[in-house]
Amino acid sequence: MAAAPETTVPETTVPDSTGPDTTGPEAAGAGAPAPGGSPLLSVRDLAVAFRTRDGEVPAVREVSFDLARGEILGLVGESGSGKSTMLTALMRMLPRNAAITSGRVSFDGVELTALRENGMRRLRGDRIGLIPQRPMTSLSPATPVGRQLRWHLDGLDEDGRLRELLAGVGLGAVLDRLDGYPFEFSGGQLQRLLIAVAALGKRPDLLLADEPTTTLDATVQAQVLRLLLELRDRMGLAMVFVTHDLGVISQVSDRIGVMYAGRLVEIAPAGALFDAPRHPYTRALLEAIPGRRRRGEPLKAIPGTVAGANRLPGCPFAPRCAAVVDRCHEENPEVREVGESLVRCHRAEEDR
Amino acid sequence: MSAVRAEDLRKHYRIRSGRGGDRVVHAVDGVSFEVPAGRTLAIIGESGCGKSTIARMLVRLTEPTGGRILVHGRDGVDRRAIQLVSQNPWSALNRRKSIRHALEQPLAVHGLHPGRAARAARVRELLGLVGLDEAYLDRRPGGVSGGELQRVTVARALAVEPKVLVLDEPTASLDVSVKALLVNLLLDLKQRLGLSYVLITHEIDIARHLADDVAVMYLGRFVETGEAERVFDAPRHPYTRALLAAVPAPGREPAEPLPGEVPSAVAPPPGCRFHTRCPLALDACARAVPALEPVADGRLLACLRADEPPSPR
Ligand SMILES: Nc1ncnc2c1ncn2[C@@H]1O[C@H](COP(=O)(O)OP(=O)(O)OP(=O)(O)O)[C@@H](O)[C@H]1O
Ligand code: SF4
Ligand SMILES: [Mg+2]
Repeated sequence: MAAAPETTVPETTVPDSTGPDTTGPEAAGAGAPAPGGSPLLSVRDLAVAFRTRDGEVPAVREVSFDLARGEILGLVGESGSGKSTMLTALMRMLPRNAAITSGRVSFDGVELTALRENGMRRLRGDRIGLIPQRPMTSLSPATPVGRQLRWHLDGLDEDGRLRELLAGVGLGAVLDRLDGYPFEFSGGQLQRLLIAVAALGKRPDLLLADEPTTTLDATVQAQVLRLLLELRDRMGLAMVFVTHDLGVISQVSDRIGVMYAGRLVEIAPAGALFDAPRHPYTRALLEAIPGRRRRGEPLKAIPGTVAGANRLPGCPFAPRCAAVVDRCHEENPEVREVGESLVRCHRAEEDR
Repeated sequence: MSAVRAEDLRKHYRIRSGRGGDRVVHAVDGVSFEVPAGRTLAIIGESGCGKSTIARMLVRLTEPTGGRILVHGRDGVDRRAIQLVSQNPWSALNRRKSIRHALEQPLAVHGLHPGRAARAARVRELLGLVGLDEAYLDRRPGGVSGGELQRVTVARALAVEPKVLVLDEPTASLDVSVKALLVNLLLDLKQRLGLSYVLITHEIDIARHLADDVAVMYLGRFVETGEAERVFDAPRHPYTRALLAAVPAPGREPAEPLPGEVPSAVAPPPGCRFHTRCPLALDACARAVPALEPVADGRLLACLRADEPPSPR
């Protein structure tokens, strides 16, 4: 088991250049290696659990993947499948009742699970940015928005820079309203303010974006997505991008990871995932979108719920799976490599 | 008789300002529409263009600055006839109170189903309507998922037997499968209870799936309204076209975003409010305000170039 965040390990300094690949030889097979070169981010067997009244509840289990510089990994999956928990674990910003219970996370050669809090704080400020899932709750309601922006962007207090940041996310129109309080802005406007802070403020190398565009309409969303893609192209920004919108994920991602009950059940290049989804959950997901049905017809939802899947001995998707066989109830499927995809399903290789 | 009728609805927010005096945000600026009984009107448009303000005015959470709202022909406030299902189920419910409390409260406020047994029976019935079992009654909002919580808010809105539901982004941030379940629930309830919906959403595919009619809004005004199928299949207003073209879909190349940005609602552009970003704008568009007027197929369009043949998308 790897060191929990609290353990005292001599603080590692953050190298400016690409650090040596410290992930070890087993890295290649287990995870999903990022294409080409040593990865910027490498996650191995990550597990996160919540302490609750009913004991320890796993929220993320056995998650491994690599992310290259300039790569965008899209993450989709059932609500409660652990996407947000994983992002906050990578940032080491988990709520008090949660902890990383095993696994390693290396960012540019630095082992994050072993880093002291003040080292982590420096990384968070300068090199890893997070766009949280609920922008409303991460702004203080009683302080004018402009003042909060300046807190986050300390050292960047010239007005010209602020203007540039806001224009970058299509928000030039609120420049004359920055003395207003958060409730005076729409959800989409607040979300863009936070995108500007996280993506543009400190120019990070890695951006963890948790549903950054869910409250935006299509034209503004297109503008924000273009901005993020430009940052990737210009500055090699790497991203983990969580969304429930399959259209969005198909447009921004190089690879897509699908989560179910805390596990990464499929990870594949974006095209392959849509053309040849391997995992039965991925298939069910693609069938549930409205575009595939006539207007007013019932949509094809996935039967049952994810409840209790964490405690099952076999495959967590078995109770809802259209392809389930006896073995699925007994044995948790290991990662299998099928074509360009990594899939956790006993029947992944079969053509169905 | 129409379920809802809004006439020249306006909402201007005055913002206190240190320097340069007060400023006025023109959130909604003269919007009229009608929802025939049993139909669904979707209102779509730019983030922050005033959609949620319309929702709040319809249920009288916000007083209009001008205009009238008639619910089933009646002016004046009838809080039972029209109910809101809001965007964020977490903030809509009291975190410290059980789901049973959330469902009983509107019954108590309106004096419906008096007596403990009758009230408990109604609460069970409401849960049944939205497909949840009684095990949820003693949980608190923090202990259930977003999709389940959104069902609870729908059940709560239905408690007082409204005729109209105003759905403000009901499916935003739900996962794909839960979204599908909620869409199915809304279709089913509308049929069974004969409801009318005003659906406010930025999810075009959801609007497309649920709406009979659609209104497209830009900076406080409607720019195009009509039968949903026609508008979605052949959008006419340049803003509607840009909006629909920007919807990302698997296997479709990202569209060229609109140039420029949404102008300030404090100082909306003169003339057509869209002229600063419109690919078809002429000089006249910066001066004359285009009225929302009928065109051939029954839709209404606010564009000086409405006569241009619609370009194929
Ligand atoms: N503060 C908490 N205390 C206890 N359990 C929690 C807490 N926050 C989250 N969980 C649980 O951890 C698991 C993962 O939740 P998480 O929020 O990471 O999911 P998600 O994939 O981001 O979902 P969504 O798509 O709804 O945002 C869920 O089972 C959830 O109920
Ligand atoms: S392992 Fe079995 S139950 Fe799990 S997804 Fe594959 S077929 Fe379905
Ligand atoms: Mg989340």
